[in-house]
Amino acid sequence: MKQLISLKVNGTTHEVAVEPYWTLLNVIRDHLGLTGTKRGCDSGDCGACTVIMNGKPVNSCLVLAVDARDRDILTIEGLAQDGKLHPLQEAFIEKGGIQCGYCTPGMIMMAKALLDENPRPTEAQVRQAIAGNLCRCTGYVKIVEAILAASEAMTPAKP
Amino acid sequence: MAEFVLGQSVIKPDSREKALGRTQYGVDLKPRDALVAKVLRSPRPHARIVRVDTSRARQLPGVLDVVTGPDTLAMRYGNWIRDHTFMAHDRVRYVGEPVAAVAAVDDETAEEALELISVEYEELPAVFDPFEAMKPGAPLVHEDVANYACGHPEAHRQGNVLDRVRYAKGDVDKALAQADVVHRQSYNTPPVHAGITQPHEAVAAVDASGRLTLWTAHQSPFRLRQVLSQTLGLPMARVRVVCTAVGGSFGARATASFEPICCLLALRTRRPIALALTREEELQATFYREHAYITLELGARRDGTLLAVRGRLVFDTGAHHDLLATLGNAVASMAGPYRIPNFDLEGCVVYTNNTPKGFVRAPRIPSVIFAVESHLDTMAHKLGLDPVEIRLKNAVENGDTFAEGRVMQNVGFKKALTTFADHMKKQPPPGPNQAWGVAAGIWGLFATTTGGPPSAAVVKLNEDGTAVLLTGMSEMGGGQHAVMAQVVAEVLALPFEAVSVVGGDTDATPYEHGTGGSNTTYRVGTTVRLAAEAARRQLLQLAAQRLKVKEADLVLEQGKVYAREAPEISVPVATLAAAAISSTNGPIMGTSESGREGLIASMAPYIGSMDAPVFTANGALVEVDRETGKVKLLKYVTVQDVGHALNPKLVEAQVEGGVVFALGQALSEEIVTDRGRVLNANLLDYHQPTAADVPPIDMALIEVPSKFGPWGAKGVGEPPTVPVSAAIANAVFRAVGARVTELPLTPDKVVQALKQPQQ
Repeated sequence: MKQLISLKVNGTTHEVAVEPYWTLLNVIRDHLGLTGTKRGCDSGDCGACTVIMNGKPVNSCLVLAVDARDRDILTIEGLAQDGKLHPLQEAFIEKGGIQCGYCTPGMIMMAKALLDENPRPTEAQVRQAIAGNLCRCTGYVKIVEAILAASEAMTPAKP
Repeated sequence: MAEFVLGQSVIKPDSREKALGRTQYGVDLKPRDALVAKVLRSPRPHARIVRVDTSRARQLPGVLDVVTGPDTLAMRYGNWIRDHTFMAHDRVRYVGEPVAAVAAVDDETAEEALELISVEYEELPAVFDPFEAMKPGAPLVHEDVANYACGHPEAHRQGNVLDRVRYAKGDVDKALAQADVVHRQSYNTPPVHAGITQPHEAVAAVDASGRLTLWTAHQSPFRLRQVLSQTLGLPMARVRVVCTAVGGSFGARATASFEPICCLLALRTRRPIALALTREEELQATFYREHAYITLELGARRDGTLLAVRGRLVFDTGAHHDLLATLGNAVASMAGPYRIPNFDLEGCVVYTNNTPKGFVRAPRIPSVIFAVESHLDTMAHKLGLDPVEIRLKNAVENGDTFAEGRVMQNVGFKKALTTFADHMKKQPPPGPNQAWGVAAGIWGLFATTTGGPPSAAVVKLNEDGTAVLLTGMSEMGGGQHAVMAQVVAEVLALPFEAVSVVGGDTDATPYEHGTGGSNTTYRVGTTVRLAAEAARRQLLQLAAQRLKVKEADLVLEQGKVYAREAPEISVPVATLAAAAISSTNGPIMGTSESGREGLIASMAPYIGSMDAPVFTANGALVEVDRETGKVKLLKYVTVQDVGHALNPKLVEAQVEGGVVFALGQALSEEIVTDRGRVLNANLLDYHQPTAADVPPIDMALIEVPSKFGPWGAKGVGEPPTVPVSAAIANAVFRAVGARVTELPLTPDKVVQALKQPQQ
């Protein structure tokens, strides 16, 4: 039977009636209409559906919507502020870290979670952090460059 | 003409929307009232369908429609041979073949409905090994294959063999007898998936006038429309295919498979239908790379001169085949990019009851080159020769003939090898249990100077001086549309931002064969250039009338046309474009056909030649753990001839992405089956390369221009994948002496090979 829950997504609170078996991914995409979060495998293996929940990256296909009740959820649509792109978004565009773009929202959200926790990661730490996000186009080269560039732009190295 | 937009790494305009999460792919476009479709698939590899009972599914509340084979026209289709229907009729031939489909109000109802359909099967003898399938008396996957319509009626079809090709020259037996060293070895490469990140998805809807529209990610909307038209019995004028954003393609979206099901349900229910495959369906039931079995026998003189090669090649295509004519290219590639005076090369394609096979990036060639380049590496080792030296000694050059008959032009192989050798000199010496492996590659499938598969384009100049390009070519994410916009901007002397591209829509754009074969920039780029040049001629003609200056004396530059000798006599492009709409000749609109005849005429001396063969030279540095057999890739060097890089950064991105794509087949990817059932149909057990698996990639691009490609461009997308498996296998051999002849190079195979006596 459906339950009425409140979901806070990108700063807006939504009241949604959900079946207990619905995933957060389904609710975000099909009920809130936020299709920027992508479905790739429905089993937590590809990372395309990564969103940030209470500051931590999660595969939204593995989270039940009822378990996201009252949590603070950030999706790709909530990253740009007042029309200004997040430095990660800027860097992905500039460095050529986007080809087909299907992994991009999940990849950027995973990178944001990394930089929130570790503002100056090494290349190896970046590679490890996004190892659960599959990209088939770029070979990850320009994605890693973009994350390192965003890190530099957000937290310049001390001279 | 100096290039001003070409050669620049302009940023592709789709990236911004993608970074913001606004780009819509497949089912992102589904309207609120859309029904969900799901497909019931065969659990049997080969069976007769005795009875299908859908009555319980139909009665389930929320189910709007259920279809089975008898509800369809049973029209067979296929890119090369018409050997499959989109839904099984009286017989299933592989695990995963569609047997029924439902349309329901939501996912759960659709899933429940599938469970309520009961199918009675009568098991038939099945065959899973292509060598068994070729024996007399083997179960026949298709009983009347000889009567299937085939684009190549001369194709040799018999029993389970659907095509066979042989190229021979000289006297191989005699040459092998005279050789100082002869090496014989078999290789095999299991099936791998294209690994598209976005599963196959589509939305179909029928409008008030009864016209059908399908929105899906596809490499060839026009060929898809043809299949829809044939299988649904609709005239093309009543079918529209619109390509949405594409979440990876790599050949996986060059075939029609599930789309007709989506359309049939939309036509029957008159409701929009959304159909999305699961990851399990992707790995079990979509078309992917064939299992290849290759045996080579190569003879050489002591100094490394190659004398003769005998090659035998078998592709297991599963229950259906959906490639274009690429067998000849694969068979000829058994001679590699080398001059070998005597050869006897034969290959065939065989049906089995495994999953059907189709295109994956560089169809067939990475498998063949894995064998060829592993083989040559062993030969070099036996002769005590340097791996680059033996390749340079035998490398093809301009005017040499590829084994299938085309004469190669604009060959950059020696340049690629020497550039590679220079790069290798800079590398520090490898440590213990480490070594570099070397491999080269060739790719020249469609690069023939005849215009290749059909393509057309239109360039319209708007009244404000901006331009719109209409091309049937879809943007795959590689920046294909951005490069086309650069071509138009270059010819019309417009800023890049002034050109928009409308692509991949069968109603809005002229015919286009599709994106694939690494010939988008090469072939479509030339078509687009012709259309832009036609618009340019119209523009200059109008300017000549207005300025009363001869066309030949006019210059088009920076948004205006002026007289070369008197620059003050000028008119802005926007003024001309606005004036054109009410002129006798009408708006400025260039079509590719107006210049094609002249182009083809200028290519006459080269017709039938391989104009843009792409050569690569690669090196992989590995470290091998002798105990566990684990291969660690430490560094990768890739050198590729790209003809001319129209957008260098996008070219680099193709090469990097291609190398990493191929690391999967080399080291970890393999579809594992048991009696046709895929045992690893998920992305945990089917391991694609992750960011943590990728070593630093050192790249050098060289430019040996083609004649037909725009400004000399050659194809770039597929060639980077070709030598990768061989480079890594050769590194493992050089590091610890283990010659692994079967992909992927997993630890168990390395340990096994270490136990073999050294060759």
